[in-house]
Amino acid sequence: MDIPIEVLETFRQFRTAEMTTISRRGEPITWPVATSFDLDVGRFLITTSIGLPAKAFNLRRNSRASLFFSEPAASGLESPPAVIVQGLADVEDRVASIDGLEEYWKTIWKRQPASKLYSLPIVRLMSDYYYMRIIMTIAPTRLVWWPNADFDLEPNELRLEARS
Amino acid sequence: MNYDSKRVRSLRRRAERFSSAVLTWIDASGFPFSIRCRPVIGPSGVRIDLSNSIAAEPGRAGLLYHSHNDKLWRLRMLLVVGLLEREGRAWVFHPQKIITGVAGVNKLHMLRSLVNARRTASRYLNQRHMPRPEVQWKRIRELQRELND
Repeated sequence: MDIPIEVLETFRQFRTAEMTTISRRGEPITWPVATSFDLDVGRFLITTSIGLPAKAFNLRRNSRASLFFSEPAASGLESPPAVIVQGLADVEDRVASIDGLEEYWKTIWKRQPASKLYSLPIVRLMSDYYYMRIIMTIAPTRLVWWPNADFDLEPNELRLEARS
Repeated sequence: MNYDSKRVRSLRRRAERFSSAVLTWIDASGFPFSIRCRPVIGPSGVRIDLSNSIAAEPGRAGLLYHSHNDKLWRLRMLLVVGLLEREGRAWVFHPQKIITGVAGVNKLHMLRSLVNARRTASRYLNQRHMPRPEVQWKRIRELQRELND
């Protein structure tokens, strides 16, 4: 994948991306998510709790999705581009928890230390579902990015073949 | 366009705290496409100025406002779905439904969200005849400790 380094850095360092799925009524539903990009397999990983499964339901009906990287807060990057990724999603049937997601959770706890409260003994009686996750992956088919997040500029574009 | 001006007023009140928003529509290829913008909420809808290089599509659209602090906490979000229309050279978003996020409103709202999510989780498992997974709390503690070392 010939993705420019500044775009890859955006994928790695941004704390959130705005993920859009398409509802049953055809509405774009956008939600901030934490995501990680695996360059070797060419896919983004996103998970959602089974307590908030709407994204997964939408993707099971319509696999077309997007991830928009436009909020650089806490990324440490200076003048990063804004990037939109369009791609096709896969949603796993199983409910995952920790196994296989160790690095994902470590990144979440590192970047969002307060989320560790979900594993405190008292809190987890109520919110154990937080650690019951649906795994979604997105294979990008098109990237569009604006250097310096300047939306008045003509954006750059890269078409990609989705890897299965 | 027949829209509810009360909805526009409600949106203006809630959106005040955010400096920008993400506008999303469905593009000609059927994929979502987003842009960050500074919506101007007026009496007849939400005016959005887009550069000529951006090929927006009229139709169903969403407007997301969100923010977080440096530790990815104090999450605030506001999602609005509606219709995007071209009016002359400008784009106007007509809000139809305001969806508030899971956090950032008040403690009662957070508690209600927690209870709802717990119910949804149980329903998710029941409908699929799946047993409630055993969360490996010990493993979580070990991983969190590794992170601190």
